[in-house]
Amino acid sequence: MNKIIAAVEIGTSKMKVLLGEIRSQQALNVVGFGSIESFGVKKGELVNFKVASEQVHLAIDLAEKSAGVQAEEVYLSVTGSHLGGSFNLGSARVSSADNVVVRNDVARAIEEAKRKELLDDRIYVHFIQNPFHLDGRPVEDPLNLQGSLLEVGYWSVDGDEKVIKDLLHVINGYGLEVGHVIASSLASGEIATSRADRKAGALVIDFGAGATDYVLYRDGCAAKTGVVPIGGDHLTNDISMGLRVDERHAESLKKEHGRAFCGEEDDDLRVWLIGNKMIGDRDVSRKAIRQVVAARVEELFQILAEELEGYLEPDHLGSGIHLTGGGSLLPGITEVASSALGLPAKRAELPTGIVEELRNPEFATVLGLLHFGLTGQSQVNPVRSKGIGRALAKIFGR
Amino acid sequence: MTEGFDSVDDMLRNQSSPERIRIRVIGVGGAGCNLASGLRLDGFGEVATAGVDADTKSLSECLTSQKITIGRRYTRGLGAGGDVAVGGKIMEEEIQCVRRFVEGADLLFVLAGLGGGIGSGGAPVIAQCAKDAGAVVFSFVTTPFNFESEARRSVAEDALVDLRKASNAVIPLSNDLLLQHATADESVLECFATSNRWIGRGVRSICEMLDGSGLVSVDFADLKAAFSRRSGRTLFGLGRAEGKDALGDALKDLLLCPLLHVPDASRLADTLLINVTGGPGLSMTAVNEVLKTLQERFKSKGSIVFGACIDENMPDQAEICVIGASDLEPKPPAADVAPGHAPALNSAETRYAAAVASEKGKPHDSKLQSRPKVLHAMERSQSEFNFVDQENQRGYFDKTERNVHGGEDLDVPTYLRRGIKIEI
Ligand SMILES: Nc1nc2c(ncn2[C@@H]2O[C@H](COP(=O)(O)OP(=O)(O)O)[C@@H](O)[C@H]2O)c(=O)[nH]1
Ligand SMILES: Nc1ncnc2c1ncn2[C@@H]1O[C@H](COP(=O)(O)OP(=O)(O)O)[C@@H](O)[C@H]1O
Ligand SMILES: [Mg+2]
Ligand SMILES: [Mg+2]
Repeated sequence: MNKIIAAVEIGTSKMKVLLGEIRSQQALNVVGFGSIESFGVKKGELVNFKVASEQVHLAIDLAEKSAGVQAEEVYLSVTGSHLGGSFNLGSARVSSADNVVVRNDVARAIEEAKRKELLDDRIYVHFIQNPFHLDGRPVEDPLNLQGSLLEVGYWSVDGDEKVIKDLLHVINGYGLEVGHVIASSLASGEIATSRADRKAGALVIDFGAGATDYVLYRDGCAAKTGVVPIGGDHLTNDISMGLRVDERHAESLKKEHGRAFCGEEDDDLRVWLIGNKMIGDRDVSRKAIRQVVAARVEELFQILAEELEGYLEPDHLGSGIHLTGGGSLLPGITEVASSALGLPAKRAELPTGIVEELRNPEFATVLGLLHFGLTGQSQVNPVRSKGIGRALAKIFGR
Repeated sequence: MTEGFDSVDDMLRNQSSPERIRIRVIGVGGAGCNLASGLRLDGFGEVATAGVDADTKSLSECLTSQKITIGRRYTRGLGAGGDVAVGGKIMEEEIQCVRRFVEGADLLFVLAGLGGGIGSGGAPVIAQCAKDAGAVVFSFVTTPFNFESEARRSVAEDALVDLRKASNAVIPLSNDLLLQHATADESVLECFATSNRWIGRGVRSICEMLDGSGLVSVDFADLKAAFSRRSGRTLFGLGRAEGKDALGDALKDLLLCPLLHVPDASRLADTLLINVTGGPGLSMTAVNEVLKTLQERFKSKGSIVFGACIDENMPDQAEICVIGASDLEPKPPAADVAPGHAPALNSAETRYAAAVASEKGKPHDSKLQSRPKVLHAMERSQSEFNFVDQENQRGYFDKTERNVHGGEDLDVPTYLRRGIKIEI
């Protein structure tokens, strides 16, 4: 039984669609690909429904044409500052006389952890189970073990109902159903790290155009996720304003000359705006570009450090920081990330076996979505997702 | 002034010989007095200047032709201590002292540095008084650096709203933007000097075009008509150059002017005032070109007030000054809406209010204490908030929900918020 799923990211810079064929729930082939410039999306959220829809539909259409098949179900990523999250603990006294944990104890603990109600206009996107603790000690599966107090924590991701419904409408407008909505951070996180990384503890930061998504893994589980509404577009806008150049030129100055920190050797070097030295071209200071970029990047990581306060002990993050998203291509970003957060940092390695064209940090989120598609799970629950790691190697090669 | 005229010649025909108009300049508060002192208006004999302050020391250094001390009763000559409420109260009670100066004016320039007590509290009162007496009021004010206290910025935002109600046009100069224009090792003081210079040139340009001796002079009645509506957001830019193609280079300089580097939307001025000054060689054809370019750039469909003058002392120099104003009316939100849903973005303001409110719940809200003032200003008049100077600093994100974090709007470039000087 083969099934065609579409992974869709309504990105701020690009609409990205991958079509994957799942073979008897074992392996996945990428069979189609569509990527097209994004309009109507700012800071990760829709600002113009109609225009954004048109672009998404074009991208899905491209992917379907390149595959020669149609998608049956959609995995959609969601980002933006409307996403929130909270950690909730549930506990249960072990009820049997012999202190052996039974199903009912587990169910009670879980129920308590998930009980928190949201405000009217918000909905849950994920419940992510974190390890059980029996009398304070972490256990993988508490059933049939002995103890008196069973605890379980859930990291829950919630979002603005209206914003998410608008996204679903975009896909529905193409005549497709969204099967699963997945926070971009979790999608990117799953593809940017290995199971071993997550077990050792890892922080994945997806630095996109509109927003920066992050997920922190502890003991193999996503223990915290978040979105900082700063992305590559902010760098571009800052350059545009600081150097008085239009956005298009600011974007190319950023990519060609940007760096996350500003050093002495930058003094005095001037670079050409357009490069053809024709009328309208002018030279600008490379140092100025880097000053603007460095200030923004430093601030981004300061905000991340604030949000992750208490989570960044190196002991719990053995695998360090993995940077992905298009913004991670910025030179010097690993150095700045590392010094701001006090952990080793590197650019995430996407799994080998993915075709070269897609082994680009900009595609981390859609690749991650496909990855989820393989197991069909929307409630990210690493405890139950044993199949994923094994199947990974087979996923993307043709 | 002409409505959608075809050429400069058209406009020239429209000229009538102007009678002398009475122009007055009043500086309010410490910064205002400095601004007024720095004006070089030698060419214009008729321009009377005055400084008003509660601070006798500041007044003693003031170089205006008149000095007006206020608030003796409250401050014993020591200034308002930065208290805007005190500044406003003193000015209201002692408006008599100023009335005599402003009453005779056809055109009054009010100069102040917003953020302190006397300037912020007093300038709106003076502007209103002059306007009631029938003067056209142009207010040139500076807004505080981002690194000055949040309280000062908030005082300035409120004062700007009040001043806009009382003036025909308010031209705010962001100290932050001027800092960007300064050279690397300039201090804050030197940066103040820059804003003084810029404001001086702005005032001078307007005086020049009304002077009557220019190549193309502006009839005061036309200026008055053009700025008769209450205007909202203004833009202000200056370009200057020297050399063979001084005018062409001045135009380039103008287009790079940091003060004009604002989002496209706000460049659409409803009223545009353009003044070109050059040496004796200034040709009408060249001036016409400049005018065309600027008209296109600012896509003005409304009125244009245009002046050109020859300055014998500027043989191969040229200077262009542009002041634009958009009519004060609420703009509809830009966002589209998904079918069958409430608007995706209600209005930037309400969302900002919500964002601020939810931010307040967070633990790190200490910096937010003075924010309610901004909200207060919005309650008074939502549409006016659209034009608070800050918005110019968001560029590409102009029309999007504010990105509030710890009391700051993250969509404003970091370097601006941190007062980092960019060495272009
Ligand atoms: N351009 C300029 N701005 C100034 C000067 N001195 C102070 N400022 C700015 O003006 C604001 C108000 O200060 P000040 O005029 O001394 O307060 P006031 O006398 O109580 O009105 C400050 O927050 C500064 O941003 C100056 O000499 N020139
Ligand atoms: N070499 C580079 N240096 C800096 N930024 C880059 C580079 N390449 C791409 N980017 C930035 O990455 C962003 C796009 O990344 P992406 O992950 O696709 O974002 P999104 O998913 O939000 O659309 C853009 O802001 C782009 O400018
Ligand atoms: Mg992305
Ligand atoms: Mg003072």
